[in-house]
Amino acid sequence: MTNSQTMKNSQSPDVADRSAATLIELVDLQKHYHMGTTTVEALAGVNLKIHPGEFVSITGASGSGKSTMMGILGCLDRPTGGKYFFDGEPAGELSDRQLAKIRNRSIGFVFQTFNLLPRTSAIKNVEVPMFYAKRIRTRNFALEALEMVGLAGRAHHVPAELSGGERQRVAIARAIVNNPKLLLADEPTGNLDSYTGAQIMMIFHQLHASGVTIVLVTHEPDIAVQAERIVQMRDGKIVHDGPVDPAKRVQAMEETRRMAEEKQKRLQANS
Amino acid sequence: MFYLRIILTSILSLKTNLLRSLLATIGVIIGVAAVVAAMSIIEGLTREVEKSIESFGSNVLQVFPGAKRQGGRQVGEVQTLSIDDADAIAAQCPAVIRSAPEVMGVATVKFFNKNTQGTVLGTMPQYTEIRAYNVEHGRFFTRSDVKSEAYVAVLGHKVAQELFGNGSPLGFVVKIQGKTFTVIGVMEKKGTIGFTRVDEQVIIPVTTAMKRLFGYRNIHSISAQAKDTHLANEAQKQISTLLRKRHKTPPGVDDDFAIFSQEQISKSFRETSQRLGLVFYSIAGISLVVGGIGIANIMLVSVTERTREIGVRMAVGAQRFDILSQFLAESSLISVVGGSIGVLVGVGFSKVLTGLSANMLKVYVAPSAVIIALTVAFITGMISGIYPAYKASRLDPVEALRYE
Repeated sequence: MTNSQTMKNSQSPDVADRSAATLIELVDLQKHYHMGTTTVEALAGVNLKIHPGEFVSITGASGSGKSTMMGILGCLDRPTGGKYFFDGEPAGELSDRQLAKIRNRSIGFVFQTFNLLPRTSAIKNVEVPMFYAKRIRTRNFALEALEMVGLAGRAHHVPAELSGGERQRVAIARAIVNNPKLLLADEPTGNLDSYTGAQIMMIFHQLHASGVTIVLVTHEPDIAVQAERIVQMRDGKIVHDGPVDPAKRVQAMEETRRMAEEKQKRLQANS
Repeated sequence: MFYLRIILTSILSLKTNLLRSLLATIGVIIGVAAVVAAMSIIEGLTREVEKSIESFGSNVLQVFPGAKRQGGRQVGEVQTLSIDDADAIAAQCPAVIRSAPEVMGVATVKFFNKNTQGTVLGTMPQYTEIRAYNVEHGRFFTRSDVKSEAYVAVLGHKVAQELFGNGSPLGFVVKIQGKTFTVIGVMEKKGTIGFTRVDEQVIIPVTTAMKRLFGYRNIHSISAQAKDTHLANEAQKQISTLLRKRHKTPPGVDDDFAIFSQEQISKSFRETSQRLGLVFYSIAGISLVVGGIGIANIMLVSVTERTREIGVRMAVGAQRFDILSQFLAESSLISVVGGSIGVLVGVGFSKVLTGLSANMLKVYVAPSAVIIALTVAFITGMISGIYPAYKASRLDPVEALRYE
C-alpha cells in the first residue's frame, strides 16, 4: 500500500465504526508513588472515556503524569485509587496473569526507543506476541504484519541492520500482529527525524482508518493535532479534553503526507 | 510445543552471549568430569581388587603376625609365627585340612648373563593344593627337600620365560642372591593370587629361605585351607584358640596374630574404598557446587543486563511464569550441555589414565555414574537458576521498560 492511498483513507476518519461502548474508562483515577518520606501524586483524580475507533493524543510537559497514565492504560501498572475499566473489565483488580493476557491479546505497544529484541530478526520480533499467545504457525501472520508496514522485504534483518524508521515499523508490526483493540504509542516519533516520523504517522493513520483505537502520547504539537481528540495533562490532572479543530488536523496531515512522500522519493532515488 | 519454543528461545539467547555461556558451561564441565572420573576410578579399582580377592580362594584363611598394641596404639609387628604353628594348625584344627607357612623376600635371580628381579616365596609342598596352583613341568619340592634345606627352586611362569625363553630350565642351576639353586619345576601360568603376581615368583623350601637365604627367625604368614567354604568361620575360631594356647596369651589380652578370610578382606577393602570414595565424591561435589555458583552468577548478570528485554516481553504478554521458564530453561541448558561435555571429558580422562598406567589401573565407566552425574548437573542448573529466574519474573514491567 502506498502512502497516498493511506492518506485518502485517513482523510475520512468517520468511516471507523464508532459504537456506543467505551473501550477505556477512568474514574477518579489516582496513582501515588512513595519517594522516601514524600508521596508523589503522579495521577491525581483522572476521569476519561475513550471509545472504540478513536484516535486520541495525550500531551503534557514531562512530569505531567502522561507516562504514568500510559503505564496504567497499558495494564502494565495498577492505579492506587479510583477505577480503570478496560473493555468493561476492572483492570485494577485483575491478577498479574489476567493483565498479561489483556496486554497480549488486546493491547499493542509502540515505544519511543522501539524496544525490539536485539540480535533477533524482524520477523522473529513480530512473532513474539503470538508466541506468548501460544499460537502456532505464526510465520505467515508475522509476514502479513510486516507487509502492512512495508517491511516484508527486510523480514530477516536484525534490528542493528535496520534504520530507526524501519525499527519502529517492525515495532508497529509487532504491536498489531495479535489484532489488538488498543494501540498505545509512547512518543513513537521521538527518536526519529521529522521525515521518518511522518512515515510512521502515516502508518498510524492507516491503522486508525482500518478501525484500530489509537492512544498516542506526545509532546510535539504537530503530532498531537493529527489525532481526532487531544487530552492535555498537567500535574497529574487533565486540564483540557476536546476534539481537534478539523481544519488544523487536515493541514497537519497534509504536511505529514507531503513529508512522507518526499522521504519515499528520496529513498527510491537512492536505491 | 510452547515449552519446546521456550527452549529454542533459550538456545538463541545463549548463542547470542556465546562466550559468557561457554564460561558458565566450563564450571559444569569440570564438575561433571570430576564426578565421572572419580566414580570410574573408584569403580575400576574396586573391580580389580575384588577380582584379586576372589582369586584368594573362599576357603583359604591367612594368618599374619598380629600388631602389638599399647593403650590402643599400634607399636610395630610382633614376629611370633613359626613353622611349628603352621604344622600344628593342620594337625590340631579339625576344620582345617591343610596349612603352609610362608616367607617372602625379594631377590635377584640369575642364569648366566640374564637376570630378573623376583619375589622369592619360601613354603611347603602343600602350598600348591591350598592355592590350587600347580606345576606345569618338572616337579614341586618335597617334604624331604624341606627337611634337608635343599637348594631347589620352582620357577614362576614368567620368571622361567625371562631367564630361559622357550627352552626348558629343568636341571639347570640359577643363582638367587648369589646362592646356587637347581631348577626342578616350572609353575603353570596363573596371573595373580590375592595381591601377589605368582608368575613372577620363585618358590623354594621354607627352611632354605629362612636359614640359608634371608636369615629370618619367624615366618611371615600361614595359609590355611578350611575343609569347606562354610567351615571357614569355624576354622578361624579353631586357629585362634590354638594359637592363643600355643603362644600362651593370657585371657583378656589381645591376639598376637590376625586371621584374614576372603570375606574379611573384602569387607575391610570395601570399607576403605567407601571412605576413599567419600573423599573423591566430596571433592567432585564441591566442583559441581562451584559450577552451580558460576551458573547462578552468570544468570544474575544476564537478568540484569536483559531487564529491558524482560520488560518488553512482559509488555507484549509474557506471563511471569513464561519469564521464569525461559531463564530456568537457560540455566538447565547450560548444565545439561556442560554435563554432557563433562561426561565425555570424564570418560576420556579415565581412558587416558588407564593407558598411562599401562592397563594396571583399569578404569571402569559405569553407566550409573554417567546418569548420576548428568542428573546432579541438571539439578544443579535448576537450583542455581531458580533465584535469578524468580528475580526476572518478579520485575515490574514499567520499571523494566524504563531500565537503561
